[in-house]
Parts: sequence; structure tokens; C-alpha cells
Amino acid sequence: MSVSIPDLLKLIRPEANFECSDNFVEDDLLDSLDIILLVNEIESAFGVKIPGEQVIANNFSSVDAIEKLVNSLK
Amino acid sequence: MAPLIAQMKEIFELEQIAESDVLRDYDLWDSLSVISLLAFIDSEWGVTLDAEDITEVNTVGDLWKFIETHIANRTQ
Amino acid sequence: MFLKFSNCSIRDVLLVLPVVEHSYLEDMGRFDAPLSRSKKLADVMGYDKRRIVSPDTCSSDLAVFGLQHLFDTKVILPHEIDALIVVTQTPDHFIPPTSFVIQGELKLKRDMICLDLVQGCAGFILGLIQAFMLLGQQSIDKVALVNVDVLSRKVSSRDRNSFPLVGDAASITIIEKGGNEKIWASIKVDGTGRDALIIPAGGMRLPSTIETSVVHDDGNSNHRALDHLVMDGSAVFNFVQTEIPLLISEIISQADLTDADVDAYVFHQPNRFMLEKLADKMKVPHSKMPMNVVERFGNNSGVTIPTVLATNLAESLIKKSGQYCLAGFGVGLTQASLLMRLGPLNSCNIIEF
Repeated sequence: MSVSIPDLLKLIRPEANFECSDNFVEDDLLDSLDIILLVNEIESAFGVKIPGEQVIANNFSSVDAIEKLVNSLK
Repeated sequence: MAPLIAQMKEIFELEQIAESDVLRDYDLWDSLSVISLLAFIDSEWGVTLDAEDITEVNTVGDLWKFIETHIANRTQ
Repeated sequence: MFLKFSNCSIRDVLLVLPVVEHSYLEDMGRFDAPLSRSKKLADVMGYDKRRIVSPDTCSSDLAVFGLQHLFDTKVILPHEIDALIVVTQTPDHFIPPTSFVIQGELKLKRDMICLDLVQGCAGFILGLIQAFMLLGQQSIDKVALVNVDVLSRKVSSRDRNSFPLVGDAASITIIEKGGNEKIWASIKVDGTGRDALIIPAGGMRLPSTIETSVVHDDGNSNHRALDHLVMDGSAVFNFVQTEIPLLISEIISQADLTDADVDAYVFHQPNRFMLEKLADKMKVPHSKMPMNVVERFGNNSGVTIPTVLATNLAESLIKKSGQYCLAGFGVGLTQASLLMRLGPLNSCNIIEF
């Protein structure tokens, strides 16, 4: 099963245009509940556990930021 | 199943625990002892059950089968 | 700040739940949210059912109903209440205090103490601490602690983030002198975080006017007025994750105990996701930290801890003694913890209003 971060983002917000955004949170593409849903999907897809204190906007502002977080937990 | 039986003897303060015992018939079967049992199952086998899961289980043997199924279903 | 008490014990707990039940998915149907997303949120956050009062029910109504039940079932007699503490964020009036409304309605004795405490999420713990302090007096043998909120009346029905989770309830706890066990308490406060949970208008800083009742979009499609409750979920989440593990490890070590000595962690219930992450950080198995109150009754503010006691733990509490770690965290920002033995209780029941 290989799932990508952009796939998961589309799952959470099908209507949002993530490609055109530099900062998903500042551009209102992801709100705090979206981040929680994303955490849940990431944990299932990649078999990692994201600690509570890492559930912050900065870690979910771009695909790079999310990948960095996931790799740090593997 | 031996570690489960041993821990249950301690939690429920009983000399004998049989596979056919009905869980709810134990004198010391209550919310705290259930918490203690679930915490043990989690730390021993990494299987996370909750109080609702326990309501679906009748005997000691059923509980062990339930734990075994969860271990088998784990993808990690 | 650490506090220590002795010669006090909790004797009875009564939970009063409004009979009206709402469903999260039905509530979310009023908003533009797709059903699949609502279902996912319900699953991850732990949202399902909540209990709320009718629009004209007040805190004193729930409290009077509960206390009358205790009198009728002879759990306690009116004249035995030496002190009545009411912890609420939704008083009947600015003045007089709601404890006086209850004292007058029930014709309790005049020779007693009535006091209101404005507290929410940590309200059960703060109320208990106040009760323990009062019991240090020779003239006070029994204290009735009421925790009650009807916050559903202060939440905008168009606030998607808050409306579907808030619940209403009351609890009455009877605390009396006696018992050999030590009780440890810990409190920390941070008023710089006060805007994380606030009702901006209605007090003296911004009195209620026509303008403060007008509903606006907060920028995230949550619509509320200045008269309504505002909850900054992320700020509260981060506060809890960073502060509470330390609060708990400090109080356990203060009492010369270890995690293994604690039978159950009875924490305030903002939502299940937050508590799962907290339990993971504290390395506490989820079974030791009941976290299903919000999905059954909603987040009923200062009553979530007694709700755990009266629902998840009632049979143990009636039967035997156990070592419990209680913690409340939220509005203020306040964080408070109690480490004490509880049980066997004289009574631990639930009634519906």
C-alpha cells in the first residue's frame, strides 16, 4: 500500500487547491479539525504515532513539513 | 494463556481460574478490576481492548480467543 | 502549588443529566459539512450523543432537583448541610450568587456557608479543594458541592466547532470529615491564556447590547456573537499536551507514589482524541483513563469528572477503595490535580431531569 501525502490531503479536503499554496494553514486550506483528521490518516497509512505536542500548525503547513514530521517518527 | 491466568488470579484474588469461568460471576469483577486487566493485556501483548470490547466476551476462554484474534489481526 | 489535606472523605456522588439528547451527526446536518467528514470527525474525536437542557432551564433548577432527590432518598438531610459550594460559569443571575438561590428554594438552615466559585473544566477539583478547606473548621461536618453548567445556552447554534459538543449537567458531591487517608492537590494558573476559553460580552468589560448579540463569521465559517462562548481548540490542546504530564508526574512523586500505584486517571473530558494523545504521552494505558464521556453526554464542563465517576467507575466506587488521580484543565487557564483514595462510597447514582 503506497499512499502519498498529497493523496491524504485530497481525502481530507477534496475541494482545496493544495498545489497553489505555500502555507496550508495560513491560506485556510486546513483548520485545526482538518489537522486532527490528517493525523489520524497519516498514523493509519504510515504506521507511525504522532505525539500530541507535534500536532501543531507548523508541522502541517506544507507537504515538505508533513514529510519531515513523518520521517522523524519512522 | 498462562500469563493471563496468573494475572487474573492476582486481580480477582482466586486460587483457581478455569477457562470455563464466566467473567461476570467473579466477586471482584468491577470497573477497577476490568481496568487493571485491560492494562495488563495492553502491556503484555500490546493489544488494546476497551470496556465495550469486554461486554462481548463471556468466559475466560472467550477472552483468550479474543486476545489471540487481535494479535493475529495486527499488521505491524 | 501543592496542598495537603487529611480527615476528609467523599461520601456520595449524584449525577443529574438532562433528559433531552442530541445526536452529533444530526446536529452537523445543519451545517454545510459533508456527512462523510462529520462521520470521520465523530469517529476520531469521539462525538456521538450529548444531553442539553431546555432553553429556560437554569443551573439552580438542576441543583435543586438533585439535592431534593438526595433529601427524598435520605442520603442526607437538609439541616446536615453546613456549607454549600456551587461551581458554575452559568449562574442564574450576576447577583445574588446561585448558592443563595438554592439555599432559599430548599429552605436550608441559615447557620451555614453559601459560596459560588466561577470555574469550569477544573471546577470539580477546585470545588473539592474548597470543601476540604472548609472541613478544617470545627463547625463544619458536611459540605455539599454542586458542579453545574447550562453552557448550551451560551453557545451559538451556528458555531460548528462548539455547538455539537457542549453538554449540560449537574453533580452533587457530599464531602464529610473522616478517613485516614492523605489527599494531595496541585494547582497552577496562567491568566495570559485567558482568551482561549471566553464569553467576551455580558460582563462589565463589554456589557450585552444589540450589537453583541449579532452573529458574525469568525473567518472559519463558525458563526457566533460576542455573547457566545469562544473556544480556541488548538490553544487548549497544546496547553494540555505540554503542561498536564508534568502536573501529574509532580503530584505522584510528591505523594511518594508511582504510576503503578494509581488505579485510574479520572480526567476532565474535552474529547477523546485529546485524552488518547495525553495518555500516550504519559505512557498510561488507555483503559486506565476513561475517555468516553463526550461521546455519551457531551463536554459538560466542570461535571465531566463526576460523570466519569458515576458512569464508568460507579460499581468499584461503591464496593471498594481505590487510588485515583483526578485532573481538570481548561478555562483560566487552570490546571489542577488531586491524588486521593476514593470509595467505598455511600452512594453513587444518576438521575435525569
